[in-house]
Amino acid sequence: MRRWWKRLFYGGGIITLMVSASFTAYYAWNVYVGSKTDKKPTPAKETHAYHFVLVPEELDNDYWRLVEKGAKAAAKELGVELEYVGPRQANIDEHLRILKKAAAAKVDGIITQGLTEAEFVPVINEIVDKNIPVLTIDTDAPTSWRVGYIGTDNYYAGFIAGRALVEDTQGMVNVAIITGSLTAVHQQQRVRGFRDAVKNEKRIRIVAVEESHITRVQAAEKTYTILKKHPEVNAFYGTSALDAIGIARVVEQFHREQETYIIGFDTLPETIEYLQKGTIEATVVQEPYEMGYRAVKMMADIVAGHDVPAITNTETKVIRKEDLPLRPARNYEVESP
Amino acid sequence: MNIRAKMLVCFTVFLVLLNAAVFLLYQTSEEMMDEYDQRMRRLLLLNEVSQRVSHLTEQLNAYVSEKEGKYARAYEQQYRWLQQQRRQLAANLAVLSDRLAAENYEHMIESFLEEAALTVYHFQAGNIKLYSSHLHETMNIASFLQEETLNLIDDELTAYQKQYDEVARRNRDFRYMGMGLFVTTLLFGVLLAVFFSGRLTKPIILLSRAAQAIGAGRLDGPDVNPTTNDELRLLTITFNDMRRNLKQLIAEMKQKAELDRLVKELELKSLQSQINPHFLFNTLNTVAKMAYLEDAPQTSRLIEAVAAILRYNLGDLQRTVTLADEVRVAREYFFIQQTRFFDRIKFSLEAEPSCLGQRLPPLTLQPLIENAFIHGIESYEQGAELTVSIAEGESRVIVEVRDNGVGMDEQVKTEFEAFIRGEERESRREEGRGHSTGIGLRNVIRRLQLFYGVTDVVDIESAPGRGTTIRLRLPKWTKEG
Repeated sequence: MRRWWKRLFYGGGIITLMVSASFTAYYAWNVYVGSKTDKKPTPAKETHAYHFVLVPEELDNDYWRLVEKGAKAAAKELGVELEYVGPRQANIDEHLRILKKAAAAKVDGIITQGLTEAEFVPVINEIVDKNIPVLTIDTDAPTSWRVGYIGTDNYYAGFIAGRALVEDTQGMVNVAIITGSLTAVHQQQRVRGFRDAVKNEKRIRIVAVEESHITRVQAAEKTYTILKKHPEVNAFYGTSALDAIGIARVVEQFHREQETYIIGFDTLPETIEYLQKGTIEATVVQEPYEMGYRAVKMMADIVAGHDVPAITNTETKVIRKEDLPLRPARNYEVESP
Repeated sequence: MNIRAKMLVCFTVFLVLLNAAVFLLYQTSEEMMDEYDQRMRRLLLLNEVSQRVSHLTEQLNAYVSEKEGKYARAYEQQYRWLQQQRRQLAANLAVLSDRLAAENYEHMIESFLEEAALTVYHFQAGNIKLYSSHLHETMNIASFLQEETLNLIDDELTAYQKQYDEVARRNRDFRYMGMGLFVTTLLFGVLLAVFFSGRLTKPIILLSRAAQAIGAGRLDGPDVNPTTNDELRLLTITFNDMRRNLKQLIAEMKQKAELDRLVKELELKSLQSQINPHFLFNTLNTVAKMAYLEDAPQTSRLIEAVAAILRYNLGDLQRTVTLADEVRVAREYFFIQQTRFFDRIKFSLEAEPSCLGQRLPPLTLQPLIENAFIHGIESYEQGAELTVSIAEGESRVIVEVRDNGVGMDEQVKTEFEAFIRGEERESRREEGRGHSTGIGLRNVIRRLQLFYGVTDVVDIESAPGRGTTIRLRLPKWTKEG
């Protein structure tokens, strides 16, 4: 009888021990493994790579996202750090503040637009005064101490848009211009170019110029207002990426797409769609990816001590429906977020 | 391994086990605390930087507006702290998810301090426009810093939030691990303790049980089996030996006591005659000589025979004699009895000479012969025969005392046989029948058994009316004894 109890005791004890031990081991393993993966691999402090900042007009703007892509690609190749910070919504004060902050953070180089002469030039000069080179992109500020410009020749872009209108139309044309901003230099240049292209054509008359603050909604609003006020308008020119889209939408609503000639800027997917549909007849393309890419390369040269040309223009041209699909795609396609 | 070593090992195992468990728990807990701690430290550091920046700005402003030294001193304090902490900051914040942000932060602090220093410099130099613009710049950077601090804190918390589930899970795992460890250690400890203590004390228990048995008087029982290989093994073996020896000693003592008793009995009986032996012998000698002188040679011979027998019987009864001696005395006895009874009895004695060196206790043959004479023959008027024959067997010397007397009853014979086998140890007081000295068959048999150490020394053949044969089967034993 004693023997039996003893066996039971030892047997039961050992089994319970096994169970308990494996239980413990399992959780101990979990804890151990957990702790290893929990520790974020502390990023090794790299040998000081150059740190550049790209400040767009608007952070989530599709056009600027393309610029970012190009810039980041160049940064990766060169082994420099590229920071992409900007105002969530186009706002000059915010934009300037971010520039000043970057300067305070003593970055190695700043790439941004020279949006307005009055506000941007002093800030750019301040920054350059602190020994931080500034490169303008997309919109130039030639009177500032900026070290160079890379981007579209905006005047030229406006000009070819005007020529396209002339070529593609016959008879009386009453054109309304929707511009992103009446104060932004590049927008002003695009309008000026356009005006100069059509000024010798008696049949073409510019009826109105309104600003959309680079939003679809306001572009649509202004289009609507214009159509109401000037029913004789049969052509529209949008100088920034979203303008043509806003215009097209309203024109379709009015069912006037057949008789209305729309020429816009850039190649957002919607624009391409409208182009294929025929609502938009033409659009001026830029090379945002190229801009971003070469800007970073240029900046790297600058900090290395080399000289760069004061003005570098990226390609711009007018494309129509028959020019689709566009190549190289990287300049035109935005990844869906 | 001796007991001490075993116990030490056992304790050591326990200690190590417990300590390892505690250590493991402590370590893991420390690690986890460490992570929390680091995170907290970062957050607190960021907070402090922000506060000091704000203070510094305040002090600076107060200084340039009130121009009092105390503000300058306070400003200096903050300035120095930020200056010192700037480097460490980079190291501490390096773990942050966004390394660039950390770099920016560090540089921003640098710019801030520069502008502040410039402000003070120009203020003290009296360049109003310059100090004013630098002050403005200082305040701008201060606000940038506040913004960045909040951003960094926000990043940190966001990162932590993502991990929160994992952290919670890990905490839970840790808790289970702790519980499991506790239970496992407990079980293991208990099992180990029971097992080891059992193994250690089992031989002790066995030994004590055996000792108890001995205490109660039982010396029999199996040997205790030594199960371990330590000091207790030696103890157990020794114990077994001791018990065996004890048993043997007691048996020997009992035998010796019995022998003593028998001899005492013999002596006692033998000393019934309280006659001084010397006087007796001298008297007999004198009588023998007188008889011879008075020309009675036969009488003289008889007296010599008696003297011989007496001398023999009164010697040391614990000595060893040879068969030759016994035979000699037997012949004297025969001579006397023959003279007395003449024709009534016929004695004969045959002995192989080779056996006569056989050693045996004294007064072995004579009592047998006397017995045979008394119980067997005295009742005969004539034709009684008594024969003693001594022959050599392979291992025994056979001594036969044969008579053709009345024989023994079946019951008496059976009793004797039982006695021989050792089933009846009580010494019966034999009634002295006739003229015997009463030494008794039993006495002779027992002394023989003790002398030779075997029990089958005697055979009895007898039947009522058919005579009795007492056959001694003595293990051969000459010289060396």
